[in-house]
Amino acid sequence: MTAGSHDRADDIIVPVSPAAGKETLAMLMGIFEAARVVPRAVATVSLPLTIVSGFLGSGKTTLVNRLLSEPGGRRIAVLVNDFAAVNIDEELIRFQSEDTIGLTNGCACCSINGDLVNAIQRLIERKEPPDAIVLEASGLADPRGIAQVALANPAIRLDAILTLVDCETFPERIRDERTRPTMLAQLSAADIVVMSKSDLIEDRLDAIKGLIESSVPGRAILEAMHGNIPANIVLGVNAGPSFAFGCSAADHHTSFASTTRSWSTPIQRDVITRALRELPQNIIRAKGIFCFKDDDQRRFVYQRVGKRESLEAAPELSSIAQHGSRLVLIGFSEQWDEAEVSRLIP
Amino acid sequence: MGDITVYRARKVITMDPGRPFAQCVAVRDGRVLSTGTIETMQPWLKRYPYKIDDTFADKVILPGFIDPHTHFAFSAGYLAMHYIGPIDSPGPHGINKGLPTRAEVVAKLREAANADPDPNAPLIAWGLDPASQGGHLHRDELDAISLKRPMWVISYAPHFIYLNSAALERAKVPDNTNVHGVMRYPDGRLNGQFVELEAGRLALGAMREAIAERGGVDGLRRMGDIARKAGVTTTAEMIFGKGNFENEWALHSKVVPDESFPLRMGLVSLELALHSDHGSKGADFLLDAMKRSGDKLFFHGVKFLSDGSFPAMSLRLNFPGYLDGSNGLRNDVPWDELHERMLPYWKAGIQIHCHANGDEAVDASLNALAKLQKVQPQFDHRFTLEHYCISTPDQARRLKTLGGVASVNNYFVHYRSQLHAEEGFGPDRSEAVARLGSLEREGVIFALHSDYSLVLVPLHPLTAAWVAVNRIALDGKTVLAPGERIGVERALRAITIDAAYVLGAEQRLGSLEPGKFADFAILEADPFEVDPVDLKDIRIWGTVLGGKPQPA
Repeated sequence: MTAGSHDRADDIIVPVSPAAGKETLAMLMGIFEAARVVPRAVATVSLPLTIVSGFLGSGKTTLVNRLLSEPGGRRIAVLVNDFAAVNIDEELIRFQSEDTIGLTNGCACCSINGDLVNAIQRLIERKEPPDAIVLEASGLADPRGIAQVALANPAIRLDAILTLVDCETFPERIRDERTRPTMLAQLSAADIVVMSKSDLIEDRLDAIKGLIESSVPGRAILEAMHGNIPANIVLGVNAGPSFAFGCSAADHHTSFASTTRSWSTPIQRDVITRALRELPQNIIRAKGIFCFKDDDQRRFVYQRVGKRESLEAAPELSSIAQHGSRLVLIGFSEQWDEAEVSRLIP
Repeated sequence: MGDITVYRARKVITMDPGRPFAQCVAVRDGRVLSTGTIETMQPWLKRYPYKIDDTFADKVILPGFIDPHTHFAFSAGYLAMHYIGPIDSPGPHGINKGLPTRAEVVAKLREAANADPDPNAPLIAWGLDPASQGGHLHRDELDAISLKRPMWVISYAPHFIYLNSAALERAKVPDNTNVHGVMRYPDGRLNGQFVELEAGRLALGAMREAIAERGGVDGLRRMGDIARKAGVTTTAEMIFGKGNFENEWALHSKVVPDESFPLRMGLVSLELALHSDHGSKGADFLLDAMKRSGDKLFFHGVKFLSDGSFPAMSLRLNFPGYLDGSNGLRNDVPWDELHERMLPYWKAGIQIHCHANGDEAVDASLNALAKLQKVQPQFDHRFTLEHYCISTPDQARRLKTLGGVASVNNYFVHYRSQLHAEEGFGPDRSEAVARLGSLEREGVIFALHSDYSLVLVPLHPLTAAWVAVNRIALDGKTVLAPGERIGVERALRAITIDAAYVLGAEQRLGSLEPGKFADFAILEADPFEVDPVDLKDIRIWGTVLGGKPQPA
């Protein structure tokens, strides 16, 4: 896959602040802890991690609650990372279960990110590991540092960073010098930006969308009322053992459309990779398992979230039909151009 | 029983106050047989075969030093880390000074690269602000600082990572990589810059591996060498089992019992981890684990934390708090539940070590101890306040009343008092850090420790003793809170027999008496004879562990 614009973080000048330094230090502490705790053996699992980021009060907990109430058959472990003196967010999560784990505060010598390392490692070592991990980040954190700590475990695959934006307060906060650096850091880390509480500002929706686009160009932007987004958008296409293609996002919600392609014989690698690269911007999520003509003993997994994409050899032979390939695409229904998609991928 | 070895010395300091000095110490089967002179030992020597060893004939033998609070398994990462940011910034080792210019950044990196004698040791620096410190670093610039030592530099906010050629080699990035965010020079050569998460994962993954290699078995062995050079023969890991109890046991049980490792080690288990793994059965689990203990590696006690750190300024203070009106962090077990969480260990007779740095946290910890005494009164429980940095004379008295002891990080008196007079704790509390004089006046037994290497002080008990006796500030002349100084004898007790007491090991360790392990610190001068301001400069030949010489 080609790399996109490399310097996007350079576009945004964020002044040096004690908070940013603390996050970097916490990230290093977390990685040191990972060096100690995470076994060096080659990872045998690939557990998707979704980070839900967003400023204080942007609706992260509401969104996480929604996911837990209809996880689409997936076992989701939720990690709550809250920098307040007490783990308030954890208490607000309605569906308390053993799969909701609050990360403790710790003092400087045993940082919260060290706790994250340990929590993830414990999840992986379970007899029945979860199908996905959702990490609710602190409202003041830059999710990059947290993501790097989680990724210090080779068994973790970053699925996506979602950044929530409270539509009501966003225009004010993005201009306020005190909150702007945090907001920009969170937005620029996002694969998908979710506009929460969009029902409250119906008339100014386009203006706010424009403000987000001008702050961080090129992100997929979704609207959500009451945390209402299908799990397939937040967590990705269900990647359980059965690889359930039948479940289309459009069944759940009229805002999204999806389409599926399948091939019974090996396909041409360069043809499909070129087509995927040219897919319209409104495709928010895609997942494929491919059998290529030039390498038909292996399977390749394609993932796309927003504009970030990857194509990697599958760690083990998938259970799908021999030499078959499949692809599912999810995008916004109102911008969906079936003709264009069919032209690219017949 | 084996043959007797008699070590003749210029002087033997036994730390047994009844028979404080001797000329020789006789060793049999790794233990002390007798102290005295060749003549006084005759009843043994004429009955059993012996040899006289004059290796230490011109040296001074003390009991091996004991540092009862260290973190060797954590240390690899901390030791590799350096700060190069543009503004002053608190870190785990204290406040790091800002470096406003590129020239200073490069000079600091060069200094750090030259400081570590091992040319392959990783170097991790963080805090570069490309906007104010002369733009992004890149591979060739870093290679000019060190070609061989792998170097990772992380920007001030966690966005950019810069690697030199040695680190790139560790990261195994192929020249034709298509990972998003791996940057190149115009000619297509990798320029060592990693931007964005996937690229960052590659760079930091290689850093994690380098740290893991330095940690683990090799790292523990390296720590053993550092300890031996300082005359230390016993230490205690004060946060055991934080990650994975059995993995950490596997590591320690591989390294420590091995004959080549020059140190005994106590393992003090973190209650938070026991609680999350075993719930209310943590004490039962720990009692069972204690059956694995041997002569060199042993389980001992349980660790609680009540507040944050001294140098990172996250400890908890009573009125008037910090200079800026803020206060530090409480730790994870709420203070009003502390005694309930401690109770199963208290009842099981497992010694409790409670981290308490600030006076408010000392109050909270003493309140917990008072409640335990109410529920089930006990003598000789040795509830230990760990660090005991900022305290009051009345707290020392209350600690004595409740039967507790203290393990004090007093290195901060010298290394940090004057800094924190201006920043954080204010002049009064900063001056009176580590009130050893008060503890002595109240009759509390205490040890001195380094916390190595979670805070930036040396692992060097003679330096701790020097600080205890002199309380000389970083300026080299000011004596801080002179009434909190103690004498040389008491200071030596705090790094030998009293430190053994704090670890519940005074019957085996800490003094040279018949039956105790033959663990010695071998010094080139007598700490009672040198000028007390020179205590820390006494040269250390090495140690003897279980009767076996361990030259530094």
